Amino acid sequence: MHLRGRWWLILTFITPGLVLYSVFVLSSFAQGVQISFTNWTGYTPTLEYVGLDNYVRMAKDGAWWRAVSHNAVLLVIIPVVTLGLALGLATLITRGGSGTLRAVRGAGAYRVLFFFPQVVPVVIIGIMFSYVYASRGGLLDGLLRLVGTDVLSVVPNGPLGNPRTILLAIALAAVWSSVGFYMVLFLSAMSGVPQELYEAASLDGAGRLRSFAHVTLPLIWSHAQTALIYLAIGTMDSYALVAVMSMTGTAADSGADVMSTYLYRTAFSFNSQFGYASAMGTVMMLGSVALALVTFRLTKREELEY
Amino acid sequence: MTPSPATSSTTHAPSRSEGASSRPPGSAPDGRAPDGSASAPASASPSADGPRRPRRRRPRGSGLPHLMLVPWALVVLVPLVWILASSLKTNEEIYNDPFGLPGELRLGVYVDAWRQANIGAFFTNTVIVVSGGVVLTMLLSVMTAYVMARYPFPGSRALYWLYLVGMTFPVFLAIVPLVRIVQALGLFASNLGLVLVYAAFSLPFSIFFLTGFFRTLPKELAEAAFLDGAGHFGVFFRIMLPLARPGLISIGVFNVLGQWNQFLLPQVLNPQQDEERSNFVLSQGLAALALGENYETSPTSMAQLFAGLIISLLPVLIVYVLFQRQVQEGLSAGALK
Repeated sequence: MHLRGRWWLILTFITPGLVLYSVFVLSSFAQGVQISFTNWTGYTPTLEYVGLDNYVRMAKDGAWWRAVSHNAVLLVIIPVVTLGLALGLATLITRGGSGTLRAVRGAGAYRVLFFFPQVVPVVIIGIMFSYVYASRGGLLDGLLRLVGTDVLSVVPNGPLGNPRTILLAIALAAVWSSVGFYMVLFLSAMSGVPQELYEAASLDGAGRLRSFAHVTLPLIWSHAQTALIYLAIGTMDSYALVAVMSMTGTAADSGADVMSTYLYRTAFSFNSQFGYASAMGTVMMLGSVALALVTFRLTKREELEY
Repeated sequence: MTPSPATSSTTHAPSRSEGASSRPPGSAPDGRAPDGSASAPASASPSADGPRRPRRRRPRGSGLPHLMLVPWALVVLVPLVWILASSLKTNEEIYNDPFGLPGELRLGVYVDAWRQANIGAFFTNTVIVVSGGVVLTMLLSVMTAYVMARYPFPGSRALYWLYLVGMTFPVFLAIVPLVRIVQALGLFASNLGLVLVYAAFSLPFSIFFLTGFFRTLPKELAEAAFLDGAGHFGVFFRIMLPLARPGLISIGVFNVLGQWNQFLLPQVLNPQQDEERSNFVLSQGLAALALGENYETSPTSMAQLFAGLIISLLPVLIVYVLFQRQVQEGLSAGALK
């Protein structure tokens, strides 16, 4: 075919995107790594290199390690609760109908409703939950009072105002937003499990729990792994939720710092320490790449045949 | 389009071929619920149920799951409904009686929120930035994706890796230099700046999604058109682009939701310029309102904030209801990138 037209199309089609992408994305990443080796604060036109100073400082910075540990805590709570709930709900929906094999009545409606929080903007979720947790006039407090307890009063300043509880409170808001999404992923995975296997299990006398444990779970295990990795990446990158929910709290402002919020404050509040913040960004990048490589290995592995 | 129980009464029995089971989740061509939404009680599923058993088992079999599904439905719904109800109440009413109904129907709160709390300006800015950002994203990504899917050339591989970087690296690494770049271009604190940056960061995923989509389209039509003497551009605009419509809608919806959700990028690139924060987008404006709430004096200041939440949630809700299937498809493809 006409070769000249071919090259003309290739060039005109990829160039605009590539220019935009290079200017704003690629060069930003490259400069981010570059700035991490400097003590730049934004006030000088030139960069002064300080070698690995920023990285050494990070290794000794208690606040950084505390932020890392907060990420680690979230990394445990959010995936465990989210995936547990998502798996449970998906199972109830696909196999909760009469008999043991059918979808529950109203499955479509549950699916639509449960997925919705995933599309609610994160800032809205953060503000909404700040008021759910509010110690005065909050939804949670009100509900607990309706039931006749005021357990929440043991937490001074409310769940978000207390360094001991704020991370858990934030994690639960994250769970609220993503359970439905992972439930839908599991629903898709479960639809790939051949019905015959359930029929066979049922003929062998397996009840719902047993067929879940011995049929469903093994066959969707690879999907659960993938979901776990994506939740892990999402949790590492969580920013807006923590930023919003810790900002309205009274006592716990830095008590809930995660890597991203600490980076943001280092760059834009604490005397714009751009070099140090960029070093944190570089470390986070290395973490993401490592996770991506793990993902790649796992998903390339041969799928279970059935 | 929406898998309401009525429209999607697929029975449970049909094809469960190997092909279907090896397909990655979220990419089922009909995107339909694996649950089959089979409310249809009389669907002729040749299941283990004998003709007599359903009658006896139904009460136990179908009541129990709801006992566990309904609570989660409440967990999802109650906070949203509570915010909606509270948006009509005074601060006093919210503090003293969090579950009471509003004393009167104060729809004026929404007007106050729009004008006094400046939600109107935030909303307008967001609409401008997101429309610009999404249109630009779609335009650039569909062109790049078409080349990546159909025009292998020396260097395609490099292009693939370059865009993969953008999907893997965290945006936090980029924010410090971004400020410098955007300032140098004179685009700091401007809608145009946000449009360009949103589009640039949305490109990688959109390109990969659309590349995958173009690969699924039949080659024969394009080849026939070439034989008829059509040029490369003609084939793209007259044949491939119309065929790509479903993919474009999915990725468009995905980007609308994603860019409406942006918080970090505007926070960094679009700081407050005046007293009324008239340059803010919704996420920034709402966060600022929530933060200022502690010092607010208006008796309906909380309601105004809540009204703001509802106002910014409304477009998302509409998109979600209209594009139910595409939303779930696009987002799950996002997770399984």
